[in-house]
Amino acid sequence: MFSEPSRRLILAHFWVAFIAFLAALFLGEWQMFMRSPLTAWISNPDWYYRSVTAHGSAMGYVFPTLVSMGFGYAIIELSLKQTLIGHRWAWAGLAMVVAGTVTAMLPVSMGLASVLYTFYPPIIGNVFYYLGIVLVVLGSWIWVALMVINLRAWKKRHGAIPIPLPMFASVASAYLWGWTSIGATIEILFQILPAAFGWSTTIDAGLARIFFSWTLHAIVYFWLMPAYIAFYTLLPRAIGGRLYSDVMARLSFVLFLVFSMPIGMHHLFQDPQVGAGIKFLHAVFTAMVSIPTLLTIFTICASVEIAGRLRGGTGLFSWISALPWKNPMMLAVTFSFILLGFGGAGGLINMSNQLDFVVHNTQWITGHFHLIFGGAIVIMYFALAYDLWPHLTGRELILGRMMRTQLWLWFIGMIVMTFPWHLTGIMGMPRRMAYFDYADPALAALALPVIMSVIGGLLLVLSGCLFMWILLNVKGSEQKAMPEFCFSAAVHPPTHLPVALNGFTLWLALMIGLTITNYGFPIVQLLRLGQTSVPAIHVGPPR
Amino acid sequence: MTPLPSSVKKNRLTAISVGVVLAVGSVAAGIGFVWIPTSQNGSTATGFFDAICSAAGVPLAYRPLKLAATATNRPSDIMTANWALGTHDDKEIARGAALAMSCTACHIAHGTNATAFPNLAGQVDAVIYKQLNDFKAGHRINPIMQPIAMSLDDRSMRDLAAYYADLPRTYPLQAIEDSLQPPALVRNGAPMRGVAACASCHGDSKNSAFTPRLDGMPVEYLTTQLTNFSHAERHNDINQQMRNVARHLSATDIVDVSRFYAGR
Repeated sequence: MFSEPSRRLILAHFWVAFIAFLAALFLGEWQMFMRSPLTAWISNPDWYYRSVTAHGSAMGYVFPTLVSMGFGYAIIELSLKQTLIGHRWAWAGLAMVVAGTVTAMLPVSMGLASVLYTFYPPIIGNVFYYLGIVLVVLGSWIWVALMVINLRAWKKRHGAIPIPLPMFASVASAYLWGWTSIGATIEILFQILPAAFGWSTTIDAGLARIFFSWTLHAIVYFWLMPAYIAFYTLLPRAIGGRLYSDVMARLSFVLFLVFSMPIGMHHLFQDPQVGAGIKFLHAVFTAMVSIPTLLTIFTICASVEIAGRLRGGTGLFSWISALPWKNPMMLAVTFSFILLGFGGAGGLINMSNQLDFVVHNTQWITGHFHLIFGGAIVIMYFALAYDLWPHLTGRELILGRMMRTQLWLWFIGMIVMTFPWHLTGIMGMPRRMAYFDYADPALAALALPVIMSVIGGLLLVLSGCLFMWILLNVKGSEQKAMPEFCFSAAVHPPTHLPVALNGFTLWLALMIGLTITNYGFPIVQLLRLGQTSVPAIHVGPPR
Repeated sequence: MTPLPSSVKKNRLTAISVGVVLAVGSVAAGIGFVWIPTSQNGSTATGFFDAICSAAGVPLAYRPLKLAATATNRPSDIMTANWALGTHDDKEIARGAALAMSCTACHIAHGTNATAFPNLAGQVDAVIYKQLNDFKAGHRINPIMQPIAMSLDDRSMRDLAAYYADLPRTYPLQAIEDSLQPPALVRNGAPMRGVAACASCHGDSKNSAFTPRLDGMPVEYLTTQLTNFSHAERHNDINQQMRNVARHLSATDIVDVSRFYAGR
């Protein structure tokens, strides 16, 4: 069970995460509404871009980071069965994330840093926005260090015993985040902040985008990790089954660790400063990163089938009806897989240089990542919160039926919002634009899909509010002793594992090696080329 | 069967993992850096090594396209930037003032007028310099300005540019009531027609980098120039940017935006 200090620490992480999430959710729906035909244009695009920056930064940098951090600390105590080492550091990390969020959001809300969460150099916003982001990242690095330290302490006491799968996956995620966040940190510290402070009047935007791409792809796998950890370690237990293969699970996580980061330049397919050969290299390795997801789909479906058959299901498919469909975890994973299927297919399209040309910077891209992250992943954040909440609060969640309603609303809302969104992208509607004149006959066909997306978004806002309501409605005013928390057991619990699947050295070496081969030449070349800087353009009110 | 010791297991998994990554990387590199670049037609790379370097992102040596020989087939010989002519000292301005005496017949003493001739007072110096050069070289056709520009040398053009840039504006001369609210074309352009917002280049900024200030220009002058751009009769915009925009403007659009700028 949780030690009392850790319980409060983890709850604090989740509460801050979900409050930031809810605020950003409202902002997102406002954006959808403002650029739809349902309202007159507010005549000032600056409001829209403030919201885009705030929504993106909160949903991208704050919310999933805090969920990972809280979940990671929970896993340390629950799977290693040891008290968290480094409590004060953990609280300091949380404080830094909160302080960083506030520091960043203040200039954004004042319109001084409408640079969007991908920063978009050479436009430069207010210094404090970037300092805030740096603070958030530094806070998360404390979490990375604590995950590694706590695992080391456990290994010292337990030798070569297999690391419990939840911890193995969490530490892989921590290492991944630690390595991938370096790119954006370099970009901010060495390129953007000098321009923001005024020490430099030019910035190498191409190099900055390369450093950002270092972070940009693997960050989404960092977001994805808690969901996949829930797939492997929470779902089978929740539905009364077993994990099909512990080894396959570990393999998936180490494949993510190796291949998530050195593929970032598929976000730069349309950038001229990267050679076509390098882009091809990244596209090929991006194909490799689809493998762990395919493995996961197989393993989890197999695990679910085990549960179905243990519950008396028979036949080729009729075991599906024997599954516990009233269980929120069962619903959440099913919805997540459906959304993952569609979102992943869209991702395969984006992975191809040629196909990406058609959809680049259109609303297809926004539809895609809302479907895959907002859909497949965030629904699992809800599910893992529901799973942990009784143990974190010491009280039962009483609104069982509402949990299912909340999940259904999220699923339907996400489909209604994102499917027409993809369509508008194929019809050529650009992203990150604040204003569309739907009266123009050339744009009139976009009106209906956009309105549908607004309705979908409304369902999501409702679902988000329900989620908070459910978390607040715990039974009773006193904490009770909860049954022992357990993770999923594998069909064959591992007794001996190859060192490679019980440690990270090999995979870290491969990850770093691939980073050098895939990123080394473009970075060095741009650093050495003399004429690659452009004037920095400061946004915000006129000086 | 006796289980393999973990050291052998470790080495096998390590070997397989490293081997797979190396193999995938080598094949991808072979295809991306060697096969595709060398088999593509139309690449400006010469030679095998050049093609590989180009695929890696090394910029190729710049091989400029041959420009057309005659002046009318080239849009201009001058690219302007507002810092290009540097700062102006009083001597330049004084010389320019002397030269400008003969300009006052059409462009009036204060350089502003309510007829069809462009106002020059407060115009960006690089813009005046470019237009005079374009008249002289034949990139911009005008029966009145061309003979005048022929008689100017480079020094004189710079002086005139300095003088007019320094001349204070007295405008607007034409009070146009409905010019207060910028038309949609000025604010937002017409994206579906590929028309950028006028304000994106001809906006309020004093730091216009290379675009003429349109504030207070005579309506007739602006409509004539836009119409000429739309038919490519005027073609001294270097990258066709004005021609591309003007081509998609209706006659009403041209009048609307002209009236707006004339009234500022």
